[in-house]
Amino acid sequence: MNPRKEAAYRMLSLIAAVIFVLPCIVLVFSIFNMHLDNLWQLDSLAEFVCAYKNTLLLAGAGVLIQIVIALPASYAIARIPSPRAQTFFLLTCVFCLLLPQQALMLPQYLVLMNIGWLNSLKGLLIMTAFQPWMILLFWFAAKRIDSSLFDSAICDGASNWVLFRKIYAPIVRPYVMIAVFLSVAESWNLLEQPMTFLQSKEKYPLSMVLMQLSTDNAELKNILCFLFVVPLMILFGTMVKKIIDA
Amino acid sequence: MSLLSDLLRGSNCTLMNKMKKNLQSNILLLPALTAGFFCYLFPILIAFWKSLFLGTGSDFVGIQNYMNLFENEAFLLAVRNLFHLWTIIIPVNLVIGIFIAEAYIKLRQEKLCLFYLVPSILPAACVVTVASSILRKSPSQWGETPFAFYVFLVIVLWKTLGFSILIFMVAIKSIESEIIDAAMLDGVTPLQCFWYIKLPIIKRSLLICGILTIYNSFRCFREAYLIGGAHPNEQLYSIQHFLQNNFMNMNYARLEAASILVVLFVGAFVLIGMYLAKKRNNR
Repeated sequence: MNPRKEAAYRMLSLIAAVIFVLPCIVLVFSIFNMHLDNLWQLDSLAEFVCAYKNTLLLAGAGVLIQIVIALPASYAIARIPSPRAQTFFLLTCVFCLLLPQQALMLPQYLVLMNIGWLNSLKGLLIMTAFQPWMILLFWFAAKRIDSSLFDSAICDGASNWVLFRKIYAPIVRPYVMIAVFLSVAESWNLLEQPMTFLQSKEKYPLSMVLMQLSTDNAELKNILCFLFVVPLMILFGTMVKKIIDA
Repeated sequence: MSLLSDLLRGSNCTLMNKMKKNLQSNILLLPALTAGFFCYLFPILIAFWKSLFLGTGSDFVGIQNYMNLFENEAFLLAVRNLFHLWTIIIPVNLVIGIFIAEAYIKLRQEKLCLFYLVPSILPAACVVTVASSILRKSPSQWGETPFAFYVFLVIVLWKTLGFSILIFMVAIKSIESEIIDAAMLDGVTPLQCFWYIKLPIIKRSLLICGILTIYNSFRCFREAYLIGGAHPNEQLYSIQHFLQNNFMNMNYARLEAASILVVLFVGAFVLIGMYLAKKRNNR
């Protein structure tokens, strides 16, 4: 391709990418018009701070629980010798993945009500503990590991636990990083489950509070959305940098 | 005799090792199985059981709730809208995704594709706030307008395109360059090379992207809910609205029957997909 033409196309591709994320700039612009007095006088500021705390708690604890469940499970599925059993587990995960949340809303509500965990963050955490996409992601990572690596370790007398700890866990670390990010993004975006399982306002995550925020001030809402999304963007930037460095 | 005992000891040892390994695997699987049972299987069983009774009572009505559902206008509208959304969003997503991935690879600007991921991670509340700021209308105002469905389509596309581009990029980059070079030497045009060589190789990625788009379009209900509220205009009314509204109105029997139908539909979809994949592998 002609170098001048290529430079023009490259510029066009950059412009297209920037245009794609341009709507998000609306949120960034809002901080230039920010009047701190507006923010401090907001009736729901205490509510916002409390919801921020809840979201952070949900994201942190959620990531931990989800990874503790998905990481060993994907290893075990990837090491199952029978292809049929493996397909069964994978299809079950795809099935759970495609199921809309609303389909299980009432029965999950009944389960939580019966064990007395309704209207509590732990109930919400337990209902989001099983993430099928995470199992599929780690399974994909485990499948990419050369089986001769496992075989040679087995010949040296390594147990399943050693294989998991010394071979599988270090190799899938980049995938764990991606899973952590996606899981945090998911916790940031929780809407249906808190809407169903939580009743008291002091337990609401930020996504709920922003939805119900009773302010006509669009600029203020933009600022709150911007503050809401900042940690997510920082995490995204860090992850992208690590992936590019790797 | 001693040989036999040695053999027996050997086989016992192998059996013991196998059992030990199985036990270890089962222990690793146990947390996921427990969580999966608690979050999915057990609720599905409860939903099925409750869908066989009238209202919240204990009068057994069999499949009557399911029959009533097929006569329900709102449910049929929601199903129609779901298929309407899929028939537009899946092909558009795949075509634009492949085109962008291919163009950025050609221009060696792969890192720029990360820009396209930003909307995918943006929470629904922020997406709707951004859209409202751009349209200069509150969500409830433009949720009522006839073009709300198209705004919703653009939002779904904006949110789902990033993952598709990423998957296509990885798939196209993993094609061995020798294949492309050999084809080019034989004088094929870039379009022929794409249509007859690259596209058949990345067929599996198309399937993955299709599934991901379906998954994400289900999740974009959050945006639809924030745009139009619990009762949006006809074009935005989705299965999730139907389920959510029945939950709020305490129409539990209808809700459970609809939930089980959705579960059956998704199950059939997965099984048909598996059958087709198996058939293709056997060929």
